[in-house]
Amino acid sequence: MMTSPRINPPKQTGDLSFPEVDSFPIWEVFTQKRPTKEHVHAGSLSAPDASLAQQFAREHYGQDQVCISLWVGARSDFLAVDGKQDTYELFVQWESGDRHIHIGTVEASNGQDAKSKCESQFLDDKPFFSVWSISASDLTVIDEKDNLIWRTTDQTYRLASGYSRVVRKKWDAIREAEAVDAYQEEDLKDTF
Amino acid sequence: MKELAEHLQTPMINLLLSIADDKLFLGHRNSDWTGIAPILEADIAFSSLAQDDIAHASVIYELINTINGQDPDQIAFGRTADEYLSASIVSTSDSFNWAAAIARQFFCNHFDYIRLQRLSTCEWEPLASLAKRLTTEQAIHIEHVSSWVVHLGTGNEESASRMQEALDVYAPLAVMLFEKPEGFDTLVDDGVLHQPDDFFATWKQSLHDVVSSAGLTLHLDQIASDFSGGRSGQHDEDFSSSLAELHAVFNEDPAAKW
Amino acid sequence: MSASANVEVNINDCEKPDPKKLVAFEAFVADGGLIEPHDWMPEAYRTLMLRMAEHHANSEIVGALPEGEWITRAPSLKRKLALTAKVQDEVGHGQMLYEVAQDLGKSRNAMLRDLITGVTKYHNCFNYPCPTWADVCMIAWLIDGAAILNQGTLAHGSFGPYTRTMRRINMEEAFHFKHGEDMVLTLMSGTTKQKHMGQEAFDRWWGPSLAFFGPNDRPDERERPAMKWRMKTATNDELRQKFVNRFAPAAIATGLVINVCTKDDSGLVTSATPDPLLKLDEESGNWNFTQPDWDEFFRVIRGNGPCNKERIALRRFSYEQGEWVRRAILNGSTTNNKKIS
Repeated sequence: MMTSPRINPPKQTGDLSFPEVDSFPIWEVFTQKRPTKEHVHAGSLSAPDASLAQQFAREHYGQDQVCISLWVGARSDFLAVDGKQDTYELFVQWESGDRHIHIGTVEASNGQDAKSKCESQFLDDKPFFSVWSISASDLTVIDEKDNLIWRTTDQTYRLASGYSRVVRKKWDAIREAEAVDAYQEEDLKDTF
Repeated sequence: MKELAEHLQTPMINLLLSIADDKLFLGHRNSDWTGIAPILEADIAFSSLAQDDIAHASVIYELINTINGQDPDQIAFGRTADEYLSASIVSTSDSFNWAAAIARQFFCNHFDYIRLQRLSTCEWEPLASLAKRLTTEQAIHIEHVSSWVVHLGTGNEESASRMQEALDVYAPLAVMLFEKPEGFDTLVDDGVLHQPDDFFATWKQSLHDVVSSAGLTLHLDQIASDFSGGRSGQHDEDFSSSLAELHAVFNEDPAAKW
Repeated sequence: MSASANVEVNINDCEKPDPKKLVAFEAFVADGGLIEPHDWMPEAYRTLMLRMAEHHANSEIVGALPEGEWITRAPSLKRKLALTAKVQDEVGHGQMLYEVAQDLGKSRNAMLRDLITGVTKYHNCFNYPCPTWADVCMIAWLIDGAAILNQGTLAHGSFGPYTRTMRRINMEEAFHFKHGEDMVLTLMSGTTKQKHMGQEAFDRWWGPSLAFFGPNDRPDERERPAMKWRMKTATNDELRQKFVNRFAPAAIATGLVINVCTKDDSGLVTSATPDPLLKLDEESGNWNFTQPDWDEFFRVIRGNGPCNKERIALRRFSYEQGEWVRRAILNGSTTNNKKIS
C-alpha cells in the first residue's frame, strides 16, 4: 500500500538543516497570440539556464490562451547597455502599468546603442516609460510551426469559456433569468 | 479505411485500451506531483505533461466509444483491475523522488512517441489521424524529460547517482511496455498495422542517445516472448493503489454524474 | 487564489520619507497612477506591498494543497483534468506573485523558508480540512467566488507588477469559479447521497467564506495605508456583504440550507442550525446574516486550527525533498555567477 506524504506528511520543526542555493537568474517571456499581433510581455520566471527557461516558459506562459510564438531572454540581457554588434529586438513600455510590447528590430553595436535607436527611430517622439532591447543571439525563439506550444487536444476543460454556457443553462433551470443575470454580474467580464 | 471489420474490433479495442490505460495511469501518477514538485516552474511544466497524458487517454477512450458505444468515463473508471491493460511501469510508485518520476517518464514518453508515430501509418484512418496529432504533442514530452535526464546526469555527483539509480530500478519494468495486447498480431496480419521489427531497437537507441549525453549508463533486455503482465490484465500492488485512488469517489455511485 | 490586503505594516517602524516626495507620490497614486519597481516609493509602501505579495503567494501554494489531495480521486476524466489544471494554476499564481515580491527585494528562497518555518503566514481558510469530494466543489465555488470579489478590486491597485499579475490571475480564477459552479450544480441536482454530501461540505465552508474577507472593518479603515495607497479598494465588510448578497440566494436556489455551525477541533461540524438572521432586507437590498465565528477564526489563525501543522508540514516536505534537485541544476555549486539584475 502506497503511503502518500499528502496524507501524513512528516512533521519536521525547527530550523532548516541546509543552506539554500542561490536564486536562479530571472528570465522575461514574451508571447504572441496571432501573426498580426506583436509579442507582448507575459511575465518573468526563475531558471538556471536557457533550456529550462524555455521549457518553463512554454508551459507557464504559453498555456493560458492560444499562443503561436514565445520569446525568452535573461532579464539582464534585456536591460544590458553593453554587448556586441548584432540585430536587436526592441520593446517599449509606454506608461507605468503597461506591459512591454515589441516595437521593432534594429542593427546596433550594443544594448545602449539599440535603446537609443529605439527612441529615435521607433517612438515618434511620444513619451514613454521604459525601453528594453535584446540581441538576437541572446533571445530564444519558440515558433509553433516547428515546436508546438498551444496543444491540439481540446483545452476548454481549463478555460472559463468551456463552462459558461453549460453553467448558465444549469442556473436557468433552477432560478429566474433576472436572478441569474444579477448573480452573474460579478463574473469577471474581461474573461468571457 | 474508415470502417473496421467486425473481427478486428476487439483487437483494436484492446490496442486502444493498452495505449489509453498507459497514459491514464502515467498521467494519474504524475498529476499527484502538482503543488509539491521541487521548483515552482518545474511543477507547472510537469503538471502540463500529466494533463496531456490524461487528455490523450480521454480522446482514445472516445475513439473506443465510436466502436462499442461505451461511455468514455465508464471505460476509464468502470472496469475491474484485470480489465485494464496498462504496463506496470506507468503506475509504479516514485515515492515522491524526483529522479524516479523523471526516469519513469523517460522510458514511457520515448515509448509513447515511437508507438504513436508508428500508428500514424495504420490503415484505420481515425486512429492514424489521431495518432499523428498526438505525436506532435508527445514530441514536447520527450524534449522535456530528456532535458531533465541530462540536467540531473550532468548536475553534480549526487544527482548523477540518483538519476542512475532510478534508471537502473525502472529499466526492467520499462521493457514490459513491449508486451503486446491480445489481438495485436491479428491487426498486423490483416494489414491494419504496419509494425517493422525495429521498435525495441529504435526505442533503445533514442534512450541511449540521451543517457550518454547525461554521462549515465543503461541496460535493457527484451522481455521473453511468453511474458505475461499488465497487458494481460495482471497487475501488482502499486497498480492496485492507483486503481483504488482512481475509484475512490467514482465507486461511491458509478451511475452518478459528477 | 486569495488576496492578502489585510497584511499590516507599522508605518512608524519604516524610514520617514521626504515629505515633498511623499505628497507627490500620494497625489499620483490617488489619481490612479501606477508605480513600477524602480520608481521612488516610501519605504512603508515598499514593505507593505512586498508583504502583501508574499502573503498572497504563500496563500496560493498552500491553497494548492487541500484540493491537491483530491486530484488522484477525481471521479471523471473531465474533473481529473480540470482539478489538476486548477491546482497547477495556483502554483502558477504563487510563482508570479513570488516574482513580484522578489522584485521588491526579498528572494524566493527566503520567502519559502519563512513560510515553512512559520515566520510568515498565509490565508486562514486553508487551515481547514477538505475531507470529501464535495469540499473540492464548495471550495471552488465559495472560496474562489470570494477571491474573485476581492481580486477584481486588486486588479485596479497601484503597483504595476501586481496589477498586471492580477489580470492573468483573474482570468484563471474565472475558470476556477465556473468549474466550481458546474461541480456544485451537478452535485446538487444529483442523487440524495450527493446532495447530502454537498450540504455537509457547504456547512464546513460557508463560515470560512464569510471570514475570507478578514475581520470586521475598523472605524479608520479608509485612512489606513492599504486603502490610502490603493492596494485595497473596498473594505472587508463591504466585500463580505457583496458576497452574501450574491451567494445566499444562489445557494438557496440549489437546495442548500445556510446554517450557523459549530465545529470541533478537527474542523468537522458538530451542530448546524438554519441561520436565524438570514433574510433579504427589501429596502437596502442587502441580506442580513450571522457573522462567522470570529473567536474560532482567531484561534485558527494563531496556529490552533485543524490543519495548520499539516499544511506547513507538506510544504516543508516538498521543499526539503526538492533541495538536491535545485542544487543539481545549479551545477552543484552554492555560488552562482549569474546575478539578478
